[in-house]
Amino acid sequence: MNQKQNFFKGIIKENPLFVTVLGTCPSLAITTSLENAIGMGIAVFFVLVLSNLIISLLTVNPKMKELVKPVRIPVYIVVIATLVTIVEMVLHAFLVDLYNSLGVFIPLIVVNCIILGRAEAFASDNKPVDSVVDGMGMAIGYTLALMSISFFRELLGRGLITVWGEKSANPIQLNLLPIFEFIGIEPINMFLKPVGAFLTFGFILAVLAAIANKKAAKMASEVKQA
Amino acid sequence: MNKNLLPGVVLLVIGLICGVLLAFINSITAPIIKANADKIILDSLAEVYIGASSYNLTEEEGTGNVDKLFILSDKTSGDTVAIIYSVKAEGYQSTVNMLIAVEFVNSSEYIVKGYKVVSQGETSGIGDKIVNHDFKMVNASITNLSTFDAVSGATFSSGAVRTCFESVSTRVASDFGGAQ
Repeated sequence: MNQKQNFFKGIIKENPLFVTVLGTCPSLAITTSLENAIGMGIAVFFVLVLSNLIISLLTVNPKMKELVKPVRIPVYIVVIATLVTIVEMVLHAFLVDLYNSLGVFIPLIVVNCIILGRAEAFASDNKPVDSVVDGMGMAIGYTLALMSISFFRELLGRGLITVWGEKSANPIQLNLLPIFEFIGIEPINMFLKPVGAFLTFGFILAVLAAIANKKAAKMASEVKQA
Repeated sequence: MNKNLLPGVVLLVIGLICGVLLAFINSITAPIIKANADKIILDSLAEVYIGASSYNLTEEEGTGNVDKLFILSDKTSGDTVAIIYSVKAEGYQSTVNMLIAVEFVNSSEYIVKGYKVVSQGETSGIGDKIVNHDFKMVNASITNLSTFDAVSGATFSSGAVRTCFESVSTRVASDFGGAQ
């Protein structure tokens, strides 16, 4: 597998949220706004890339790998917990609004299956550069997945998407409220509740599964014809 | 060294490195986090004492009805300029919580500069009038409550507000002297 394939597999083929369905609990909880999704994505990017790098560096030497092997899970947890605590302290100091809205889900990144999973399944058996590329691809794939869920939830639940409205004089905004008014309905508040998270997540998974099935059927028919 | 101990030593070393790194990051972020927290408190205190955010803030635990003291001091001289008391008293059917700002004019003169009922659960339409009522205490001496103007028809709720002022008065007298 070359670096390009290594990078893109995390975004599409092995997307941690939509394909391997890992880390769903915090993902569904924080996707009430696009801003939260981007913030969580950046936090996970930092932790995943650095944890992959550090764990790969620790296990790149065969002797060191043998030494770490009996205590590898505690080592992974210590490294990941340290990185998450750094993210938490930096957010608390410099991005208080984001820190407050992500709340308990920042420290819970420590036990996010995606990070521990990549450490055990990839970083511990691959070179540092490959591990960093894998971490970047997986983190970007996760962020895009969070953004797609939050996009639908915020748009349907509030009728309006605003990104960094308080920080910028010209915030990025997408307003569907006039359309809701034209149709004569209110924004569907249910999409901001847990049930809306499950519905949106299920709907996106169903669409992706339908596309994958269609693609597989097409390939099968091409093979048959050949 | 016993080979079985080596993995543990590796874990210990990694733990120590992580601990040092966290201590370093904490030394950078902790003052900023504290400053942010102080700013939030000062912004809310500015509602009872205009210009509160331009002073240094020190918090002190209170006793009795006085829950907390927010001491505002001059940033250059360090002199105490005012104290905002977080104080409570029992009303007709709830606990009335207030913020009362007392400015130190000189060593024997302590003037009320502002007050606010921050929470209460008094009878709607009667007791809850204490929230917006002018008790005629702004610019009055905290050690002299003769100007206190109660809400007519809300004796118990007004009594709670008066008790709040009395508690602050007692605290000021005990801390700094002066006749009540």
